[in-house]
Amino acid sequence: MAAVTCQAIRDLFSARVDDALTAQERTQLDAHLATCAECALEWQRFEGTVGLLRAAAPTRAPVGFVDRVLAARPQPWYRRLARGALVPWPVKLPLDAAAIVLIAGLAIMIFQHSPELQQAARAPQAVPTSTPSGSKQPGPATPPAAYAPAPPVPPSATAPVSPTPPVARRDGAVSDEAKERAAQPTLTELRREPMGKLDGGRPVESPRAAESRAKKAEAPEGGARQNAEQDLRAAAPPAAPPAVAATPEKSGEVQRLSSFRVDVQARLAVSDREAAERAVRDLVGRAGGRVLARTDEGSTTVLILAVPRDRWEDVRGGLQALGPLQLEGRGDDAARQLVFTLRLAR
Amino acid sequence: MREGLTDDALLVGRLRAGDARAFEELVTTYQHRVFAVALRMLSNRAEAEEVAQETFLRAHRALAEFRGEARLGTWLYAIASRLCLNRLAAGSRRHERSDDLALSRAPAEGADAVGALERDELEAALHEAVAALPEERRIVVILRDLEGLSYEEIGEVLGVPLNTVRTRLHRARLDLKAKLERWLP
Repeated sequence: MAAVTCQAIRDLFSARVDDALTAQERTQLDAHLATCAECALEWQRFEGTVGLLRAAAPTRAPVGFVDRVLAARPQPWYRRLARGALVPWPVKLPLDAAAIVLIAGLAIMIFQHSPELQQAARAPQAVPTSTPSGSKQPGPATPPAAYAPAPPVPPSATAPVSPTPPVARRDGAVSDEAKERAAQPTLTELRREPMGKLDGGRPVESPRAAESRAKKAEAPEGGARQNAEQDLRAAAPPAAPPAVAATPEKSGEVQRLSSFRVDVQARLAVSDREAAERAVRDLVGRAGGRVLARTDEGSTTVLILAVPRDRWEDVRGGLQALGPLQLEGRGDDAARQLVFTLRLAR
Repeated sequence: MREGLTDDALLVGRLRAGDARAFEELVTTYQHRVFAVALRMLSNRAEAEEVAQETFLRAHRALAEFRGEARLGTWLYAIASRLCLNRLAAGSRRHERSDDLALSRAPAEGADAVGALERDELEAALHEAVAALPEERRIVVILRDLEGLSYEEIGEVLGVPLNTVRTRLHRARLDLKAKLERWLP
């Protein structure tokens, strides 16, 4: 057996402690320690050191460690799913239902406090009729159900159809838009005041009431009413000042009536003005004409009438049959209708 | 490691089957050993508990990867050792050492008081000596002399050859012998 060094022997100490030496290594180690006091002392110290380590008090985990680990443990997927999707349903459903009820309640409250919404819900197709120019707008609006089913007015129908176009048109200096603006006050005026007076001389109504009643009265007339409005637009001077709708003074009436552009001035001498007026109305009505306005000037009844141009001769003949008739003016022969003033007097 | 492969296999089987009690049993069984390694390595109880808890949580997540070739305890030691070494290597420890482990024990009375004091001093000396070891040697001596793992198991835990285990262990013991001269006969 070859001699071994002390260092080689000491390198075996660790394996000797763990009993990991081969039989040959253990024999060499034991033989060397038996003859080398220094290595034997080192071995005792080495073995004692390991003994101290192995005799150390065991370390214990802190109290509650297991609970903390279990609490921090991620839940299985099915438990997470159950917690996220299934378990909260008893809580989720009432919350969802409460949210729906709350939103519905808010919507109802807003609807009840919003007249616009209620109106839109009741008559979504209603047409605003407060503006006099509404009939001139060819928009998609349809008349409300309370009105007579008048045929829609084509855009071209708003153009003057009178055989005697407005002065402005004759002059060619005023645009169509200016004519529209000029026609509007007259149309508004005739919707309000004259209708009340033409219906048997009732007291003058407020503009709103007169308008409301006029709408009701014009319902059965249908397209005829529409034609009358067109006639009035054609007869209105472009620069006519807006008349005072509810002014009962005769001077105002005369001024308003004089604002109409008329083609013919007629004077009919009659003994009974009321009977003559009825006959004139009947005559003009049968000719397809209209009474545009009426007023009394002392002992004279003034009517502004519009009749188709081709029926003018018949109307004139009928007027002559009622009494002595004086005529001034002729009008435009090319126009489709003729507007004339008729004064009934004794 | 005192659990047999059969016990480990049964426990692993229950864990994989989703047995809620199995994980609690695993933690209860290995909590002190895992915590001891972490405490000896980090010398701080709070950090040791963090590492020990993280060890079990990682084991829970990686349970499907456990092949069953090693003991369950060895697998847990491997996780804990890696966590400790990584934490030490990172150098971003919040708690620089060290807790006086002896202070946690209740004081004794009478004649036992002297012996208890000596034991406490010895424990403190041991703790300081171990803590002063290089990390690679420290973990080997902890696993061998304090936790009782075999060379093969240590090599498996640390992923190093047996010769490396032997060399590191021998040098660690020599360092400790030099530091514990006072306590040696």
